[in-house]
Amino acid sequence: MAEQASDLIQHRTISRPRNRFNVSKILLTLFFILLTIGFLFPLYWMVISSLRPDGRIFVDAFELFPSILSLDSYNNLFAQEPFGRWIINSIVQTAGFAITALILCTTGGYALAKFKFRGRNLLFVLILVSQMIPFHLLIVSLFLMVIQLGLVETYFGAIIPIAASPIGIFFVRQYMLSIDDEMLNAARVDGANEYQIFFSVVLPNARPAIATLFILFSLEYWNNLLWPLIVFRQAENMPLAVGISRLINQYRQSYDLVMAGSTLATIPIIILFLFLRRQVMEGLAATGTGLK
Amino acid sequence: MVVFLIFKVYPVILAVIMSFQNFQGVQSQEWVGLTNYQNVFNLVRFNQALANTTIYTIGTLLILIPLPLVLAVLLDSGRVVQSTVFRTLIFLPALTSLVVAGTVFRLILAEDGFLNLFLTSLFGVQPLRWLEVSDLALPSLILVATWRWTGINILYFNSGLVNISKDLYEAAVIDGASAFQMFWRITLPLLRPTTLFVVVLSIIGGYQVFVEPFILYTGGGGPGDGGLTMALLIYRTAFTSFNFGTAAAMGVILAAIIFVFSLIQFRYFGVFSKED
Amino acid sequence: MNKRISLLLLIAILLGSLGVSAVSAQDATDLSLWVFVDRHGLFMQNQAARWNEVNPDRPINLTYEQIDYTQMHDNLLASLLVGMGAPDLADIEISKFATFTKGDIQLIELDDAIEPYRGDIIETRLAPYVANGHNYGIDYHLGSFVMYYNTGILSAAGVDVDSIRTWDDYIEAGKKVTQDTNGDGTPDVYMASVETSGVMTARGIMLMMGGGAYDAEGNLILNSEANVKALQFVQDLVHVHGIARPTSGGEHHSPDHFLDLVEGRIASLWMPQWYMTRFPDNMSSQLAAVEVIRPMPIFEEGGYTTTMGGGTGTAITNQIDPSKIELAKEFLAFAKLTYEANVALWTDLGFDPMRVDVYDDPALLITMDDFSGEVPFEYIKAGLANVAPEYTGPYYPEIATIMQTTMMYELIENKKSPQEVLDAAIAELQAMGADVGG
Repeated sequence: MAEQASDLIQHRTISRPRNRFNVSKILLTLFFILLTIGFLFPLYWMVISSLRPDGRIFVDAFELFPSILSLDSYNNLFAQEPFGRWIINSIVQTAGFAITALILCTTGGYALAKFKFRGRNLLFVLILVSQMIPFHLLIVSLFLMVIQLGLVETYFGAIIPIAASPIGIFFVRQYMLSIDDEMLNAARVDGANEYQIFFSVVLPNARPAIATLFILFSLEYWNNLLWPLIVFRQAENMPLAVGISRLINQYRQSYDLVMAGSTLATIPIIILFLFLRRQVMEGLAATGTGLK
Repeated sequence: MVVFLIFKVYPVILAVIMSFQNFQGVQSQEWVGLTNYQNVFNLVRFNQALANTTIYTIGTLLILIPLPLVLAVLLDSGRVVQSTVFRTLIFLPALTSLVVAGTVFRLILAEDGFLNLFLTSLFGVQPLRWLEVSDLALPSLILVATWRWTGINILYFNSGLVNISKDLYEAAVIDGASAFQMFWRITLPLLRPTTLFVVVLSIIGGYQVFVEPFILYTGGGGPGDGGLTMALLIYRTAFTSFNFGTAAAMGVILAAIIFVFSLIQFRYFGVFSKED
Repeated sequence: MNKRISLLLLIAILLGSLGVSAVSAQDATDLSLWVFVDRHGLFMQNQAARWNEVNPDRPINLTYEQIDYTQMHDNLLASLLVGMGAPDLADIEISKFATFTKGDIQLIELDDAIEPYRGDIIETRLAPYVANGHNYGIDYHLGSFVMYYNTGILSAAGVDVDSIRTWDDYIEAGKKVTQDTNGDGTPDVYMASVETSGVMTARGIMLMMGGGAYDAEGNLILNSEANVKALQFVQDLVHVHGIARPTSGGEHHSPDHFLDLVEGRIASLWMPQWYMTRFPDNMSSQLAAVEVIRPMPIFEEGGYTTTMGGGTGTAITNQIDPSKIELAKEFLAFAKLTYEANVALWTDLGFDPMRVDVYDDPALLITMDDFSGEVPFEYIKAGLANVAPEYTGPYYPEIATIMQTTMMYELIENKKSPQEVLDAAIAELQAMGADVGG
């Protein structure tokens, strides 16, 4: 038992040669491999479906190891839809959204966690309540605001109204609570002003949270179907997810294009995720030494 | 904060106002007092939707809190080779387009689909008609939710785990604590802010669930409305029945329910203790 | 500024790519249109080009935006609610139409524009888009119900597809076709498939028996005798005659249902004409050699021969510039109701036209590889002798929802009686405030 426990804590500092680690490690790893296969199955199906010849998606639905592969769907996709524009729109809008949302949420969350002011709890509750009303109810009033403020067809309109994410503020607040007050006070004693503290002490310590949020915000926008459709009407301005969702309707069910488009749409966000995983790991190392 | 007030609080206030009106457009609205709230309780499907949504929320809480928590701790334990790779891969479902998720899960849940194939060959159970029987609608939805959200919750727990000081574990080992004891005495208590966050998020998400039934049943509530949720009913009432007042009243009731549950969580986890 | 330039550029590109002779911008009237199917927008743009050829003195510059089905209707409703942001013209799907004719109707009536064509078209097609006695929308197709048969399965069971003329013939044939081929005690091949979370199977039968949701006078007739009989008929196909099964996945667009068809587990189904495209698109033309189209079986001599399913009406919103109203109305009727337009409904969109005279046009009388090399329109036309009308009313969308979610499910899966499920539906509509009459 004690040995197991020491395994549990040793991994981040030094990997010491151990004798018994093999069995449990192999079993656990095997378990995770099986689990992951289960989780990835739908994605695998999406990829192989996108590679099937014209019209065979459902005919061959249960053929898991396709014998014939074809790029029909991809050729059709690029020939029939402004796919390049959708990708660029998605990347620009997603990045803009994620960065704006991060700025709003880190400052808001930090204020809620570390500053004692009147009505702090009330504000916090208010923020959460605003998340509890179903989005569809707000559509009519949001729609009115978007038109009145002239935000239709603008990137600004696509980003700002949804950037103040209550969940994001909540997440940052929870995270900031675990940052030691002593550290902030020490910085104050050293003569740092509040801005310096925020940028040089608070933010570096919140790196894992920031990386996590960045991924989640990117994801939220990348797959958001509702909001972009209220702001954008022109197919040329739409992000990917919206463009793809238009390919299935009562009269035309282009599942082949959907599978190809979705496969391509998943790749950039996977790359972003892999890239940021490293940031998270770095942040992890920083917190490991810096927070003692 | 200003942005927040304009784009979040103002629409919410409008929605609450709407719930007391017969809203037929910006030009025509009249005050009708509590009529909309009475209408809500008259709606035949309200109870069904409320019950469905509650069961769904409890179901997701029972699965989507413990499962990702345990997986996150295991992945963080150093006993898994290439844990980052697994964390990444399990997260991928959240990136999948909803149209694809809906299509794939219809094939997985089909009578001669992959899930039945798996269950029959492993446990010998009779094939179940997941997509066609009312009682199996909620389990199907919870399955889809588990697939989509496990990875994200692992991520949340992970970001909390890395913040726990290693010294505590070292001290515990010296005191002869077992792995289980450390999980129970150190990991869980110190993960409290993160856990609270995930729990509240799950309650809010669970009660507002819209996307899962919407994609799985292409816009409907599934067989016999067995997958009808509050958010779907609200959507239907507003955008199909053109009854925004009643829909808004339903939304306010739903928000109140979520609020009460969240408040209980806050009390339990002692969020407000610092100011009290 | 930038927005306008890019818009102009876009129009220019669109017009250019269509090979439309560019109309000088100053005298052309701009009309905007929202669609949820891209091909509808292209169709209307082609019609605008045709209009400009015929009416060079009053040119139209039509631009369209395609928005996802749900979102387009939601956005349109929201725009009409807030009194701004709506386009000049908009497509509204049949099951959503009544939502837009509730309360103060924010659409422009089309009666006088339709008048000149009234004698030429199958007039019952206008019925779904009528409110308070006025026309508010014009459809893109007739959407007549036809029977899709797999002749491979039929002839293996010794059934000649052309011997099926009445529903009694159909049931007799069904008993031969429905078979337990692998001997496990339950049939593996069924004559028909019945939707439990879709509306088309039941709606087709209800309308052909003279039932439906509303009558011509706008009375709710959901619990009428005709509907009870229709639901009894559908239920009996499954539970008494044993020749039909609940559709895999509940409705005829479920991927597992397409597999059932391809694997030869279902010998026939009745769906509107537009279901034809599913055979090449979703079934990879796997059934091309055996699939045929035939008219619907009839219940009685002289009774209805078919009915219509689905549809999308194009409407004009009240946010259009008043000076454009007359032009827009005239153009809309021109684009949907003229002979040439109806030929184009088939050639551009693949839909069955709304004018009977078009059915003899060479453009329609072509053989199709996907349907055993036959000429499907000969059979489609043969079914149009007596088309049962479909009327809609204020609670049409809710009725569709109830049928789709609980009514058919309770009827087929839980074997509830037709009277029971219809009464339950009426009670639910009453709770929503519907006037259910006596």
